[in-house]
Amino acid sequence: MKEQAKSTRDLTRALLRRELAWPDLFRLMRDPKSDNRFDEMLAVLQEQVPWKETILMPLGENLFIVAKGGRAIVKTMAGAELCAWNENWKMKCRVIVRRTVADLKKVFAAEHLTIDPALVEIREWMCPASGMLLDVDCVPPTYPVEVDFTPDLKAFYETWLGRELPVQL
Amino acid sequence: MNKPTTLLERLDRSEALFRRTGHYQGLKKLRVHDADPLRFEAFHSRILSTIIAVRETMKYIASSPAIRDFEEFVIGLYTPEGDAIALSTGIMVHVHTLSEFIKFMIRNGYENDPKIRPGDIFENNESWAGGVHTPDVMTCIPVFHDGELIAWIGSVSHELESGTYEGPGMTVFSPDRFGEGLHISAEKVGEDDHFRADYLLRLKMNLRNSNWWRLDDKAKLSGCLMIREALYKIIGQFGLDYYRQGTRELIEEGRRNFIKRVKTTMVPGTYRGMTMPVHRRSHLEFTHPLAKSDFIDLVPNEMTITAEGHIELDFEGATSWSFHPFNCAVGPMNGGFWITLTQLLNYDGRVNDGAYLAVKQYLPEGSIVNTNYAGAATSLAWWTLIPIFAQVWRMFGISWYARGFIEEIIMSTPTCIAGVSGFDQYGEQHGFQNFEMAAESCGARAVADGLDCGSAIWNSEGIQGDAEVWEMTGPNVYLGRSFVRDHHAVGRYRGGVAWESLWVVRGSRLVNVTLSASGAHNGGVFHKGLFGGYPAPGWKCIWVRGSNLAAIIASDGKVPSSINETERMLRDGTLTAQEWYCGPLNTWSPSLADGDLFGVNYNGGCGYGDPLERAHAAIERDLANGLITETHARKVYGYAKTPAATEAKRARMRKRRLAESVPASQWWNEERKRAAAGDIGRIAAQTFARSAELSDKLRDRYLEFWKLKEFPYTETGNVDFHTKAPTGFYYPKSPQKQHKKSA
Repeated sequence: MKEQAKSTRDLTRALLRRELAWPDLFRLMRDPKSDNRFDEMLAVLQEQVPWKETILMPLGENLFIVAKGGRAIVKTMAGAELCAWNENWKMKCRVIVRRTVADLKKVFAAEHLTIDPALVEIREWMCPASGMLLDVDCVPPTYPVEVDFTPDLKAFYETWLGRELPVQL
Repeated sequence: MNKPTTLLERLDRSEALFRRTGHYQGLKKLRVHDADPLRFEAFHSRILSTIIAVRETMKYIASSPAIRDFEEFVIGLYTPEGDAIALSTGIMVHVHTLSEFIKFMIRNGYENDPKIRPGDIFENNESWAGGVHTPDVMTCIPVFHDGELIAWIGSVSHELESGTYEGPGMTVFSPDRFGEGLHISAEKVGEDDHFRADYLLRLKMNLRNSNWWRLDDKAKLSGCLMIREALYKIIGQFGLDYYRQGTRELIEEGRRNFIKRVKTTMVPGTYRGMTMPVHRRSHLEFTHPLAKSDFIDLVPNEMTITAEGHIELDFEGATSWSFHPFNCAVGPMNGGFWITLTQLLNYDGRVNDGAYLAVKQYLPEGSIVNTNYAGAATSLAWWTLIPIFAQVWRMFGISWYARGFIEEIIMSTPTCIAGVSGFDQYGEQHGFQNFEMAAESCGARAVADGLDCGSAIWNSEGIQGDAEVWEMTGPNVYLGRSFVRDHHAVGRYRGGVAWESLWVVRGSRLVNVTLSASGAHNGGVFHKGLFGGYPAPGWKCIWVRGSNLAAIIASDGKVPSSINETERMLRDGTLTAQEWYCGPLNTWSPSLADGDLFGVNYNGGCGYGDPLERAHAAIERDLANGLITETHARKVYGYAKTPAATEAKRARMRKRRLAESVPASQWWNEERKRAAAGDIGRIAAQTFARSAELSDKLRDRYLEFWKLKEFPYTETGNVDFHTKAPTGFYYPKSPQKQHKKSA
């Protein structure tokens, strides 16, 4: 893809879809970071999701904070609305917990598997609507469930981006 | 404020100015930069190009494969107060550890005794003085101009042998510092630009193979002297006043650029992660009684990116230091953080201490990340540091994803290692660690698979090294050095494919090997992946004593070339042995000799995204390259022969996931009984108790999450060993958070 022939939004869309050839990707890594990237990424993500709520921030592949009814909530790509933006969204998912060698062999190559399930539990958190895997935790048994990221939405929108946050926190 | 005259006064003044103004040396304006930015750029380029060119020359002076072949060294320029101005390429961990070393000397009154004079050479590998561990040896000289100390130049090399208990440069099994080799505790080791004879004699007497260390020392000293001469020329061109002001402005500019980069590419908020290296000692036939235990070094990690664009790491909840060489002090932790910053955020030409002024670490005293036992070993602090800071890379990735810069996301590399000691193929006493793991397999990116055989996080210059060099370095010949099929962390983008080496002992009557891995050994995992990616399936190693390999070769039979093949041959009787081990436990082999085998797996980093979103073409590429079997591809990626068939199979697999899973609330209700009883096995239970021994943070989180009143974990398994933190000298300290348990 020739970058000159494309708008930066097209470039961002191609990046999100993983359609960029390595030279284009490499150039993107080396170039100064664009101030518009966040807005462009939100726009191309919004094109991709099958629902209308405005995306405020992506939390990961297939997981978003969106505006709904003046509030910020966590929503999956498939449309499952999990909880408020700063709550533990994993506890609204479906989960498979692997805690025996037999369980682990279902997702690892048996001849190489040396993870000790007495010490490490694999928790697979999935979208209740689609079965898409949102996160995989590796923790000691009974370790409290945590989400990896709680953004400071107010500081980000108002102080860093200099614009109003379109929801009430 | 009176003009400071001593280095200590200058250091105090510099820190006071920063505290008062928030700017390095109180520089609200960049005077010389603003007056002529192009001249300022030329000034920086002269310094940086000199340092990088000198590093290249040093390679040809040095002796060890550590420097010559996989480039485990660095050199840099520092202010009189010890702040980094510019660094060469190489092992960037030492941007800040050298800084701590210089400040240690200043704060401990070295100006008065042993005095800091022109031509002096100082050396350090002491973790209390900013060093990481005994094999990372720092060499440092002051630079004087008309009688005034105007700069420091410092260099660090990693030594493959440092006089440890077992033999290689880093001990795996020593319980304390008294087995981790030769300590040079911030000492004056030379005068008049020459190493003292008594120092060189000390090296000869305390190391198994002092040639590497001594000749690497000379390479570092030569590098320092070359930069000193070049510096005089630069000062001659720009003037001393410009040099003083310009170097300070470089650091302040570095601080500002760092914050700007954070605010441009990241998102403020709280990020969470955790690492849990597993350590096992009880299986070892010979080990110190204090060290004979099995446990997890749990390290919860909370990262805050503040509204001001500062980054703070908080490790509250970490378990305590212990009788092993994986403890960290403040110096090693600062070094580990520094690597993360230089590789991921501060990667342009302005690598200096400016970035450090915009970050902070809270390292709980007495924990694994900030030991307060004077006798603690830190020889393999990396086995704690690497998972921790790899996990920080992962958290940076979450931030970049939220901001839309997915091309920046990259996950890191575990480190697995083989150490060899005994007698070499020339009959000399010997010890070294094979550093081919410098090209271990990386974690996944968000736009590409992890490099299958790339570079280590701690040294982006590092390479695998030629097999022939390693065969000359020790009494070992490669039987295999290859990728391991079906061994990678799965995800939309997979972690790098594991690779492994298998050696036969050749030309020696006595060899002992130590085999271990950071995070991944003893049944542990390196850390979790991103957004649905998994960790790799685990690590293993092998040793075989008294085999029939010679007979197999004589009969033109099949010689094993991998760890799993060796194990299969041992199990089916094709290969016989007097004794052998193959598995995930860190290991110290019995005495091996000519014809015996040992091998190590180089585990890859973590995966990214749901494996059922992996591109069909990417799976077929791995199949074509022999990196995955079709059976495994079907199981983990839902692979079928065509993209349409793959998609159909994946739809069925997602449905199966939903059928096999339960709502998280249901799992919580059932699991809560186990959480209340603490019925999770001794090692895991003791891990929680050890965390609660130092801090209420994880305990409180546990009680809150499980809605319990009583914490079920009380037995720590710790030995009754109480000690005080070192006294009588200054050493680097960390700020503490208030969550710490009160006495």
